Amino acid sequence: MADIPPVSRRLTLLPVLLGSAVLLGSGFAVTVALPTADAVTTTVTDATRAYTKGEVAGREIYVNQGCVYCHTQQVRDTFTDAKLAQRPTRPGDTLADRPANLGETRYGPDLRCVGDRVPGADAGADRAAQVEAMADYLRDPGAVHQDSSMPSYSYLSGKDLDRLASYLVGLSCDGGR
Amino acid sequence: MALATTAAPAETNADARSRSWEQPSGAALTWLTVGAAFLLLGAALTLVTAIQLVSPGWGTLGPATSIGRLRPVATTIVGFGGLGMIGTGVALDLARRLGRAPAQLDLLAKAGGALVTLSVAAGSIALLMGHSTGRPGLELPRLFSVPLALGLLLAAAAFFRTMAMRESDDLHPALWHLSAGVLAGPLLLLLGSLPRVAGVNDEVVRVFATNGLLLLWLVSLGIGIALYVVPQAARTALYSRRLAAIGFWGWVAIAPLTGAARLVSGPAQEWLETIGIASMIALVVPALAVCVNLSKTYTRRTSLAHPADLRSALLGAALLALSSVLGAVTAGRTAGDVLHLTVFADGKAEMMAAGVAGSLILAGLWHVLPALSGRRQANPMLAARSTWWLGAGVLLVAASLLAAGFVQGALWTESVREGGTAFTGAGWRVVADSIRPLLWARVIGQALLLATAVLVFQQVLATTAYGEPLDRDDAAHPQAREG
Repeated sequence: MADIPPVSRRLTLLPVLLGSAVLLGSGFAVTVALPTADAVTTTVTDATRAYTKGEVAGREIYVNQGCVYCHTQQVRDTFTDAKLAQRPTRPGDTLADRPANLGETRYGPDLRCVGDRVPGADAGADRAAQVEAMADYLRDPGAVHQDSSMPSYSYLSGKDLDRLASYLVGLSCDGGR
Repeated sequence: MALATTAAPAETNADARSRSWEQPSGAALTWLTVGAAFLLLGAALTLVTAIQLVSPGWGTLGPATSIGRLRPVATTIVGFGGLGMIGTGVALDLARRLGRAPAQLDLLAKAGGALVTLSVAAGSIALLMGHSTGRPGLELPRLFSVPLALGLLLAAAAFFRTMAMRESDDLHPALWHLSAGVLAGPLLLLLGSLPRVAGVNDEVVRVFATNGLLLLWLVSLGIGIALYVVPQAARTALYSRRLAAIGFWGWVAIAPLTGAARLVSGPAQEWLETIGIASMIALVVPALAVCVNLSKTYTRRTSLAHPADLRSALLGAALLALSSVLGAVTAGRTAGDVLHLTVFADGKAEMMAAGVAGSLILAGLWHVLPALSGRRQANPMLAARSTWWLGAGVLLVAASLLAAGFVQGALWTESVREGGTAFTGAGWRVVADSIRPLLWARVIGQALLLATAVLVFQQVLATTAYGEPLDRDDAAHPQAREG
């Protein structure tokens, strides 16, 4: 080394490693340990979902098809999200969701309350008809919306399409959620 | 006078030692070569997913080739396999160079490389088959993420063992960042993979880990590399050790907190979001300290040449400044109301990952490749030009996504103001149609990034296989002197 600093300004390996570890640990404590220990994140709300076995299977398909990369499942406390649900999503609403599936980017619409937007949902159509309509949409989105940027999931088996559709129809915010 | 009596044998030992540290690490070259191959594969898959985003179903032959499966595979391969392995390989070599100590535990580092390679390859196949955790950025199931972290820890052991043998007790500023990065990578991967929590808590853990892996692992390695490469390539000393200290301590203190900014306006606690926003603004200080230090070092250069390593490091530094300022300006809730959850977030992430981490880590690759392979760079001019491709590609990808995000946010806001909703039916399609040309522009940028990855891989192969052998002086001083 051409210019070795005086002893008082030298930085050796131990302070670098200890300092880094302490700062990383502090970051973890403040932004992970504290918020996750907060009771508000583990308190059930009126909107905490109770998935059926079929819906859980559908959620597995939602996860392994990577739907989360284009769709969010969170209604924010913002002007633009005000019409998506009667109230913003609260921490406890998501308690039953593992993985969280909150998403970070909306290449496609938010799906937190997609069950309320299925054709026939507002007219009180029965659930089986809604699931069928959703499965049809997943099979060929272009048939419903021309130039849709949603890919077709026709390669899924009929059973898997029904499971995925059942999960999505179950994502309802009806009743103040 | 005891010193005088032992002077002769001490000199002999010093000579032997000075020769031994010049012997490059075989493990570093392995990490680098495999990393370059992963980078090429990952860049190709990223291009496919960029096309699939605007042309749904393109290239989809079945579930394994759908966008939802290819996207996490591309991210995993580029991040852990490509940039992660190249960055670790460069770090292993810089520990030897800066410490003037022979590379230690080379076999262990090679075993670590093999473990990382297998984990990324097998994990990618598992992702293609649908075995994903569903947590963006941490999709690999534990069966693969834990061995991957173990592989990185083995490399870290070799890195620190080499450091322990160093000539001087004092550490060069480059080693501050490299030490933190080498340690943070595996720790954050484990911290992100192991907890079993649900809902918002799962998201809190995920953003902490993925944000940390980008900033504290990849970008830290990149900054460490740049602090070594720029003085070396410019043939001058680092401008300021004090600025380097501000940059280092500021970075490791603030960067872990910035992940929370990704939760703005969402269901997480408001105080947590506030910490995230404040830290995004504060991160500008260490980022600019690093950039000013590098730019001042460059202006004191004694060499007029602009080889690939110097160009790439300067590009990365410029993008770091741009990225951190952009992050600070758009971190607040007012901007978040418009931009949050739009593709703007992807634009920022691309600028930091492909732009900052990519440029800085590739600077290290260009710098160490000749000495590691014992051969001259196969085509230095082509390598130097690749920096333009990389810069153009990153700027096109980032600019198109940032603009698309802004258009999305503006149209959503306008639609709601007019009493409609932009999130369903026809309203949504207006927004989707408006950003489609920008997403096509992103595809062109992604193609440029693929071209860069092709060139990097070709140059690594051509240099190691056919490059002209370095002579003894070159081997001792492959590109420049030690700072």
